Amino acid sequence: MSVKPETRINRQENHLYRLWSTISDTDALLAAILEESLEAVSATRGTISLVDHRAGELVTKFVAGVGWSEGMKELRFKITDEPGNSISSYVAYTGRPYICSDVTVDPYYYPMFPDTRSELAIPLVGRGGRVLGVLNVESEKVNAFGENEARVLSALGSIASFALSLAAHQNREKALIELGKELAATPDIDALLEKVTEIAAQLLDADDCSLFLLDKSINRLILRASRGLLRSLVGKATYRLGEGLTGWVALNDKPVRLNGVVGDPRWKGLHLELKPEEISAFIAVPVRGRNEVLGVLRALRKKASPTAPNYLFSDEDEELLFTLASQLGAALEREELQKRLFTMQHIASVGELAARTAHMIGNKVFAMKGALKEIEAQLSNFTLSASVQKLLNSMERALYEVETLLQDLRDFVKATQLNLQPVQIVELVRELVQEYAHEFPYIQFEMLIDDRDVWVRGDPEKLRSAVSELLENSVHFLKEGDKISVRVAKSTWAGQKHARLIIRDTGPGVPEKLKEQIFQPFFTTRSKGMGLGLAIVKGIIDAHGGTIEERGQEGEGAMFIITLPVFESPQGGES
Amino acid sequence: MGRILVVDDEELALEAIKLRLERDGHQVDTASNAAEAIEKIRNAHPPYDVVITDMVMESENSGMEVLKAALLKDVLTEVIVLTAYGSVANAVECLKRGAYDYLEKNIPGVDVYDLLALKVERAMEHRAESLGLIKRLQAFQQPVTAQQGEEILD
Repeated sequence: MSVKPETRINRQENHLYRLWSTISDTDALLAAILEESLEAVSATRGTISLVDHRAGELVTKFVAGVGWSEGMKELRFKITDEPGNSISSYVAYTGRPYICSDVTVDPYYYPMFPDTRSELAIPLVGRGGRVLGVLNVESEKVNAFGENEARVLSALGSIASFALSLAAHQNREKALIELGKELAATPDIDALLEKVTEIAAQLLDADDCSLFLLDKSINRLILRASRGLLRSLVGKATYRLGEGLTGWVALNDKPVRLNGVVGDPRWKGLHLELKPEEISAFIAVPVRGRNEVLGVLRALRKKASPTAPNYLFSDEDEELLFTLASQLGAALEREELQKRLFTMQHIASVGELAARTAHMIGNKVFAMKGALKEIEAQLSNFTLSASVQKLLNSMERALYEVETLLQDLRDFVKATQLNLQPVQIVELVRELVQEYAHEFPYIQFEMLIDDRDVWVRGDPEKLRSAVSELLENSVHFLKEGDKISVRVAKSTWAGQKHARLIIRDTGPGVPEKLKEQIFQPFFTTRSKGMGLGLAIVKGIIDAHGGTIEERGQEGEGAMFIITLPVFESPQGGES
Repeated sequence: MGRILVVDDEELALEAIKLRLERDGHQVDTASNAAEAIEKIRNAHPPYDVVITDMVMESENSGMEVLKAALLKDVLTEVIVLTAYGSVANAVECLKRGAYDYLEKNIPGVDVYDLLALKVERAMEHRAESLGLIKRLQAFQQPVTAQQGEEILD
């Protein structure tokens, strides 16, 4: 009267596949699998428990069969091989099926029902051998389950594992799509960065997540967003490239995944979201642009209790964080590109207008100068009163000033039209510094050269006028005994070499509230000129594919940092 | 002194240059666009010694057209090109094609009219030199040609 096991399996699985096609609800499917399991191996009752990775515990989620009361569901067992902690918990620990023929002599058995005599438990194993849960059945008969039953249950269990993995995968996918939408819709970049850390933490079930972005002008990673303790340090916490785990990730363009952090030789503990001993697991991935590393996204999990096992980040977690990081990288580059494009178009249209206007005004001024000259010539036979002479002189001076303004305007417009060639930047800077030192003997000039041979592809005349404008600008604010130091260095990150030019002075520095504006056209604190000086400098540096920023502290002096992409010298190596 | 044509579409500039150069004793004609200038150059007897022309008038290359007409009329006419902002490149192109000099209209702190007067003086000297050279060349060439002619006849 007994049915052959194979036939039974086939019938059950067919039944399940039908279920599978109609049930998209994972919970319902797991409940159904449990019911099928009891029937397939003639068990009295059974459970499906799922792993709570964070707590290191196994939680009873689904029960079937007779005799269950409410209090027995959601039971938690520590995942361990210690005796008496339940057979399921032992299976979750070992990751292997377990047949118990007689519970009365089993060391792992945890008594719940007085009539239980034998048990069979198989692990639900996900990707990378990670145990997701345990399928457990029991019988009031001794020795009820053998190898056949274990095989049947394993088959059913693998469907449950698959369903669990798929559900997790779908959740992540959904979250990623949501993120993509949000990234596209978030208008300002800081809000976007914060959103990314929030979503990353949520998706990875992490307790904190921080984002560091590379600031080329100071060659450091700067904290741009974080959720917990580090939040107050946004904009302040930094890592040098290669410094600590985060710096290592940026320098090597490779991810890092660790249980804890304390043992790792790269770990420095400079800026921590959690106390070192609280860290259960750490993961950090590079945020990549098309050509270079833009930053580092890192996440941490906290230990549920001091004794809880490490809740490690999985392969899926790493892939997920990578996906997030690359979406972010693309968004950052898009933002940068749009900004550049907008600036270029802006400059181009303003430039055209300015050029036409300058030309017309120039012509009129030329005519006015001529007329004024003629008046002076015709009046030269008369004795003019001092006030008339003064008026004539002022008019002439005013016309010259208009011409100076026009010249500024023309330089501004022409800043982006480059005549490119290899330029030895160290020599160019040295010559200028010498000229200025000669012209302003009451100011100390200092030249610091880290690397004698730094070439960039640039327009020597434009670069000279940019550096010259910066020196001019410094000198304007300095008094006797003040100092200007100019440093040229080369730096490398992610395979890209950059020349760095740092001009620092001991003047009053740039007030914090003006830092944003100093590179804007028509901004000036001086009474003369049009305020195009630094805008021209920025235009020139931008056109070279470089960056310029002011990084000094108000009251301690100004510090302008220029980076320019290095051009490998045709001679190569040292000169 | 010299016979000079000044070309500029800015009436006031034209007037100012004319007055400035007349003070130096030059005889100055004016034209307020390239077409008028070319017409005057063609009909001039004798040709102008110096033509001063703005670079950009009706078109970016108005100055170039005036230069061409002047040199076609008399290859030794000295042309000075005036440029306002943004047309220095064109002016340099004019130099390559035979203009004597160019002058930027807006040089802060410089009296451009005096500078122009100076350049006109130089241009006059240059033209006189060139004319002298040609005369000497002709004087030198004629006897040789005559002698050669005799030799051929012999």
